[in-house]
Order: sequence, then C-alpha cells, then structure tokens
Amino acid sequence: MSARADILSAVRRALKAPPAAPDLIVAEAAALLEDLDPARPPAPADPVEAFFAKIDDPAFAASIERIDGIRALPAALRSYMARHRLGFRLCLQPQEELRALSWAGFDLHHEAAPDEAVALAAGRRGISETGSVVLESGPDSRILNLFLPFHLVLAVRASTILGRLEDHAEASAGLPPRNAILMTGASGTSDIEGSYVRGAHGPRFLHVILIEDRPQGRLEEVRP
Amino acid sequence: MSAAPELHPETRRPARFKAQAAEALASPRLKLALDRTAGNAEAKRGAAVAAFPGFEAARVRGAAIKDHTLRHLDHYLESFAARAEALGTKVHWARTADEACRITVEICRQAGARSATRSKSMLGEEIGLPHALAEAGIERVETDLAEHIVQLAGDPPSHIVWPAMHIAREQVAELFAEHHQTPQDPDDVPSMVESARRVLRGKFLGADVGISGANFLIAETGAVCTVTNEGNAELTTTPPRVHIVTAGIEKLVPTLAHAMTLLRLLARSATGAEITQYTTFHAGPKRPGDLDGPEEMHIVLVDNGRSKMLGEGLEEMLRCIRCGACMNHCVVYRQIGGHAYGGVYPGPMGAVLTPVLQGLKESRALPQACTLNGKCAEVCPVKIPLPTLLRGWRIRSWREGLEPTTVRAGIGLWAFVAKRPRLYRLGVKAALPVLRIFGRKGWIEKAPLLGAWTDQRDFPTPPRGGSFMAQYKAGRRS
Amino acid sequence: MTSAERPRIGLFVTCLVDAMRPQTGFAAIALLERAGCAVEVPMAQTCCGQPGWNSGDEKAARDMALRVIEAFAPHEHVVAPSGSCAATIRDYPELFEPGSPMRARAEAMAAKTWELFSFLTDVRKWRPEGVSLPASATYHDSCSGLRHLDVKAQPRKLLAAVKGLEMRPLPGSEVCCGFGGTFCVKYPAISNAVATEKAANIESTGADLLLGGDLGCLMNMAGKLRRRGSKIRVTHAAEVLAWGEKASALGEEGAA
Ligand code: SF4
Repeated sequence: MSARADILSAVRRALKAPPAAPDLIVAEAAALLEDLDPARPPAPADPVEAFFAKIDDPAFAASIERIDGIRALPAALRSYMARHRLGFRLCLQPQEELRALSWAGFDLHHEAAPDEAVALAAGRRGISETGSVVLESGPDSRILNLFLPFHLVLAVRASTILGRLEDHAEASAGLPPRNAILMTGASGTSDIEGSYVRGAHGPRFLHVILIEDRPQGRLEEVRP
Repeated sequence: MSAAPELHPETRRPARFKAQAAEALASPRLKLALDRTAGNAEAKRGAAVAAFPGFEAARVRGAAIKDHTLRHLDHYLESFAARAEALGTKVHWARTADEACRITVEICRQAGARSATRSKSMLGEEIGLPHALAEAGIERVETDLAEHIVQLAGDPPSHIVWPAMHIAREQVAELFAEHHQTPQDPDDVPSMVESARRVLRGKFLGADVGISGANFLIAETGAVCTVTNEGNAELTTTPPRVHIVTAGIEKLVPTLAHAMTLLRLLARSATGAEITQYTTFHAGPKRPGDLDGPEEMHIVLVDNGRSKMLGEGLEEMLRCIRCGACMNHCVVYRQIGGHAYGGVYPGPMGAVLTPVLQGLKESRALPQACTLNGKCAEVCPVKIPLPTLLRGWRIRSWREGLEPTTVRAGIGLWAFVAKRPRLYRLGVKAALPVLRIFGRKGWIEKAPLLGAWTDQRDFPTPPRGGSFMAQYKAGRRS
Repeated sequence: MTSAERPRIGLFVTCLVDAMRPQTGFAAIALLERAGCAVEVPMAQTCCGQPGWNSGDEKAARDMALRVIEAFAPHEHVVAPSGSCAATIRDYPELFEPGSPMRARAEAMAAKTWELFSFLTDVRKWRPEGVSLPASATYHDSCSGLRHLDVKAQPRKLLAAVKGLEMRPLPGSEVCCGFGGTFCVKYPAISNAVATEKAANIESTGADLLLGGDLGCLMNMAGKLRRRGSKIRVTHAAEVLAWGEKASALGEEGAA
C-alpha cells in the first residue's frame, strides 16, 4: 500500500468511530467559531485609532505616522530617510499605486540588494488587535524586498484597517496569495540568553505610514 | 566542530537520564543560562496572560479546535492534500522518520542541491533530518539564530523554542569568533546578532533548497503557516528554487479563522507576545508573474507514531502547539535543562513524547522524573493533561515489567503491608522506636535506608508516644 | 441531632501523619469538632494508595482504594489533613471501569472527600476564634491541593483569624518544593536542587514560621531548612489553628 493509504487507514483505525459526513464536520467546525468574543480581545471602538495607538506604543518594535492621502507619501519618505540619513536611494515595491506617485529626487529601483538600506511597500490591510500589516506576494510584490532591507517602510490605507485577526481571515476568503505575511514589528530575536535584539535577519527598523483615505476621515477632523 | 563542554551529545540517551541530570546539576553556568532565558519567558508569559482576560476561554476553544480536527483527521488530511495539490504543491506522505528523511533527501538530490537552508523545525530534529542531509553530502545551513549557534557548537537543541537555551553568551562569542572569523565581544549581544546576520545572508541567497517546518496546516486552503520573530523562515523559503516543508500530521486546523485562536495562544505562551513578528502563510510555488518565490513546493506529511498516539490514549498530546511553556514552568527542567532528557523533545511534553518515539524501555525514566505537581498542565495553552499522560506511561511501564526490581519489591512490600491494617500498625510500632535511635535533638541527620533523604536534608525524629493510631486507640483525642 | 447539624466525619489520618506527626491528626480532630462535626477515625485505614498510584502499580492502588472506600462507607464526609491524599481519593474513579458498580462507589467516595482547610471553609463556613500566635509566618501551597482541589484562599482565610499572626507572602509559593512523594527518593539530586531554591525563598521572607497543609512537603522543606542551618520553624497549619502559640514545630516534639 502507498504511504498515503497506510497513514489514512492507520488514522481511521485509531479513530474507531466511522467517518462523519462532511457537512456535519463543516457544521461542527463552524460552531467552534461561534460566540468567540469571550476568547479574544475586545473589538476596538475605532480600529484605525487602535491600530495607530498599538504601533505607537514604545514597547512595540515599530514606529508609525499618519499622512493625509497617498500623494503625501513621497514627502513622508523623504523626511524619514533624511531623519535616518539614508540618502535618496529607495527600493520601491513595484506596486501600481506606489509607482504612480511622483518620486522626483529619489533614486528608485525595484529589487532589493542583499544590503539594501531602505524599501517601501504597500500593505494589503492592517489589523488593530496586533498592530500587524498584511503583505501579499504577487506580480507587483517581491517578498525579498520586505526582508533584505535594513529599514522597511510600510504604507497602509486607513480604510483597510480591520479589528481582529478573524476579520482578516474573513476578508481573505477565496484563493490565498502564494505568500501572505502578517508582519508585526521589526525582526527580532531573544536567542542569546533571552535578551531582545532588533534586526535578526529581517529589517531592523519598521516604520508604518498610515494613509488617511476615508471620506470623512481627513486628518484635521481626526486629530484632536 | 567544537564539542559542548559539559555534556556529551554522542552518548546522550533517555536511558542515561539520571547520569545526564547529575552532569547538568553540576553546571552552574547551565543553571544561570536556564534561569535567565526560561525565567524571562515565564515572566513575559505571565504578563501576557494577565493582559488578556480571554486567555482561559481561548484555551478551552483552542483545545476544542484541536480535538475536533484530530477527531476528523482523515477528512482534514485529505482535504488539505487536495487543496495543496491544487495550488501546485507536491504532497508526500511518510509513515516513519526514515521515510520522511528519504523523501526529503531525494527531493534535494533531484534539485541537484549542494546546500539547503533550514528554518527551525522540531519535526526535522525528530526525524533526524540534520543527520540525513549530512549523510547525503548536502550542506545544511541552520538559519534560526539559536539553531545556528547550536549547529556551530555541534549540539542538539535543548529547548523547543530557544534551542540554544543552554549556551551562555560568552560561549556564543567564542563560537562566532571561530566560525565567523571575526572578533566578538560577549557583552555586545547586538553585534553578535549582526555578525550572524552578515554570515547567514550570503547563505540564504545562495541555497538550492529551503526546508521549513509548519506551525499549522490550513485544511481549507492548503496553506502552510510558519511563525518566526527573526524573519528567517521567509528568507529560507523564498530565494531557493525548491521549498520543502516537513510537518507532522497533527498540525492541521480546519480554516484560517481557526488558526487565529491558536496563534493567540502560541505567541503568548511561548514569548509573551500577542503574535509573532512574522506569521506567514505559504500557499504553493511561485505563480505566473510572481516576482520571486520557489519554483517547487513540497510538503512531507509525517506520521512517525502519531496515528498510534491517536488510538492509544495519547490523542490529547497531539493538541500540542510546541510553545515550550510546560518546560519553562517545570521545576525539573529548570534544574537540568533539555539535554539531560536525552531525547529530541525535553521537559514535560518531551517526557510524554519520547517514549512514543524511542520506546518506553529506552525512556522509562522520563515519565518518572516528575513530581506530578501539575504546573505544566496549568500553563499548557491547549490544556493537555500532561501529568495524567505521564502517569499513563508509568502504568504501562509497570505492566510491562520495565520498572527496576528494587522499586517493584518496595511497592510490593508496601502494598502487602498497607492492605493489612493490623500488620501495618505492628510495622509502624516496630519501626518508630528504631528510627528514634538515630535522632539527635529532634532530627535524624544520617540513618540506614534513609540515605536518599538524609544525604541532602534532615529527617524529623518521629514523636515519642507512638503513632497517631496507637495514641488514638489508647484514648487520646486532642 | 440531625446530620446536617452535626455531620459524621471520617478522618483520613494519612500515613505520614500517623507515623510522623500525630499532633496534626489530633489538631484536625479538634478543628473539626469546633466546627460542629462528629469525628470518627476508622481503624481499618492505612494509606490512600498514592505510592502505588504514582508508581504505576494500578492494581495496588485499586486494592487500597477498595479498602479505603469500605472503611469510610458509613461517613457523610471524609476529611484529610492533606491535599495530596484527598486528591488521590478524588482520583479513585479513574481506577475502575466506567459504568461498573465500583466506579459508582468510587465516585461517591471522591465526592464526599475533602482537604481539611477546604472543608472547614467551603463546607462548614467556619473560622477559628480565640486563637493567638504572636509571630510572622509564610505559607507554601502544596501542589495537589492547589491545582487539584483549589486550595489556596482557604488556609489563608483561616490563618487570618489567628490573633497576632502576621502572614508574609512567599515568593514562588505555588512552585513545587521538590518532594513529589517517591520522586524525592528516586531522584534525590533533582529533588534537592528544587528544595534548595525553595528554602532560599522561604528564608528570604524572614518569617519565624513556615506553614503548609501537607506533611510530606513540610518535612522536605523543614529538613532542607535545618540542613542549611536555618532557624525557621515549620509546622502544619492545622496545629497553629488548633493550638496557637502552644503549637510545636517539626523536630521539636521528637526531641523530647
Ligand atoms: S504540551 Fe502544552 S505547554 Fe507544552 S509545548 Fe505543547 S502546547 Fe506548549
């Protein structure tokens, strides 16, 4: 017998009970997701504010700023790169919405070098529960561009921010992208005596730029 | 490669537990390293649990999700395999560790691989993959920082989350100085991390094959979930032409939404974080138009005793999400570390698993080396009744006659007497005055047959006036 | 009197109290009587069976369980001055086939068995009166009682009623002391390492007394403390609750 058949029949033998009907299994699995609130953090009143606050917390291994509309992105990058003395060479994830912006004064390329200083990519969505940014592979997204740079800047639209992890699961129904990454802060390690060090293999610095793109959510009204 | 200073990997075995534990106890440096790392993890987990009032409810839910999946494991294995294949992943099945290694090595050979990067996977250790790759002449590059350290030290991992828990930073500095060929400062941990980053970066980009484990297999989509804090999984699985996943068949969950409850539990229980820095879902090889990613993705689904556990009263152990909390909180692990156990998995979960993997005859000491204090079960995020499972092994060991004759004789004598109350009282009556002879100022510091106790601590002298029962019978009431 | 007013209690003395520390047994009787119970001590009892149960000798454990169940058949409640022995009795049903008549008897036995402080507090809603002990003390939570029977607040509530007794928190009070029954003689070196850390924590409180509810653990910690030259006195909390300043500590009566 094939290993596959052997393993499946060993499992069936071990389970003793006859196999259940698939719809029953589906129903049982669905019931396990019902009434989940006592078993997870509460839903945020305002996911965008919660997302901002989460990453803004000094204990979180990333920084965050907000800008008014995506057109302000190059200026935000310019000042971030100036602040960190990163020059003008920027690895830009070749996503249409990013390429369409005006990058005058930047030295752009789209494939990160092994010692890349800084890259910018747009996140698919944000999750306020954990402060995660979701990144997906695809024809406009190179996964290595997210891991090789020393500084990684992620742009996320406020309109895409969700509350909890399950909301992300729901939003990503259907064919999954080849890679979907929930990125939560910069790379880190505590492998040497448990002392935390930022920047193990991935980026040492993660900066999130929250793009205010909601119709009534312009910054003047959001900010106190 | 330099050998580990105190313990000898080549002779470490579960059957030598007692001697290995004695060696470990003699190493103050090991104790220091354990207290620093496990103590830190314990404190961080405590804070994370305190900050999440839903933790207990999540544990109940997490256990129920795993139980459900295991109850329908055949169904979920088949649907996972079908979905994964639809994504272009090649699914392989391995009944045993050897078979899993053969399959993995064969894929490497077909890819013409000279080197393989590996992202930490305990299953890989379980099936002996490092050894199999070495035999096949394939250079193995461990990319997790701790795995990199233990690889340089020529050691196996001593913890399932912090494989290098037993190695102090001074030793890391020595290893890096030798192997990275640059001077290292043991008090500058960030620079040592930087040194590993530099050395490994080249290896990541030049590898022919990347091998990872899996934290979860999503049946609904055929995706494989890996979690890391360093980002080494993605660097391991993206650049090479071939990505191989080795995963135990118990890693399944029904859907992405079900995985979320378990992710909440896993990170908090392991490191005290709400979620790991990189939680990545790998769904098949590079697609048309993709800018990077492996040309081929393979998944090796490994049984290696798991279907047997399912049928033999160990199904609860298959809930394990490998968080390491049980060992961080174990009084025995905290004294002796992971190597003393002599198997792949240490601590309470290892004491349950090692007899499955290496046989009870080889590992009978492990389930005995436990005070049954229950702390491990109290912290386990999926509510595995570890002490009950350890007791189950003790019962099997007794039944199969594996317990030493001295223990059997001792328990036999105790049972014979304890079943006969009058004989028992006569025995107590006779023994107490004898014991009292050895007492000085109310304490016995040395007495025949009490050595296991009095070598380390004093024993109170039994009272004058005889046992409780004797005094009660004589009319004393208060 | 009806049994609700004066319940009939069978005292499960425990083998260690019987042989090593009769005072703890008499203190338990005194406390139960003050809490309005009629206490009996069945003569047919010896041990709860834990040495067999924890060594994997199910048959020996089952034989002991049968005898204990029989010995305490007439009693409304069974109370033990030990969380560990009470927890073993609560485990008895596991020794018998589900659905069998013995299983049902084992379940009934488990349901009526209590650890002393839990019984006094949770069932009898009782608090000591007129007991005093001007001293400082710290408390170790023995594992079986703590995790199997939820004994944590009960002894502290009772001790809070002892006049003059200052309770100090013990760092790591819920960490096992390394006794573990047969564990301490099977793996003496590991047990000693655990007990050494425990002793250091106890000493760090600077308390006069270490109290607890399980004689095995108390003997382990007391023996370790004494070997280290510590002056901390160790006794079962039942004795303090029963006799206040007249209570003695481990090793003191044997000296007489
Ligand atoms: S047994 Fe429980 S606590 Fe231990 S590693 Fe597995 S999931 Fe974590």
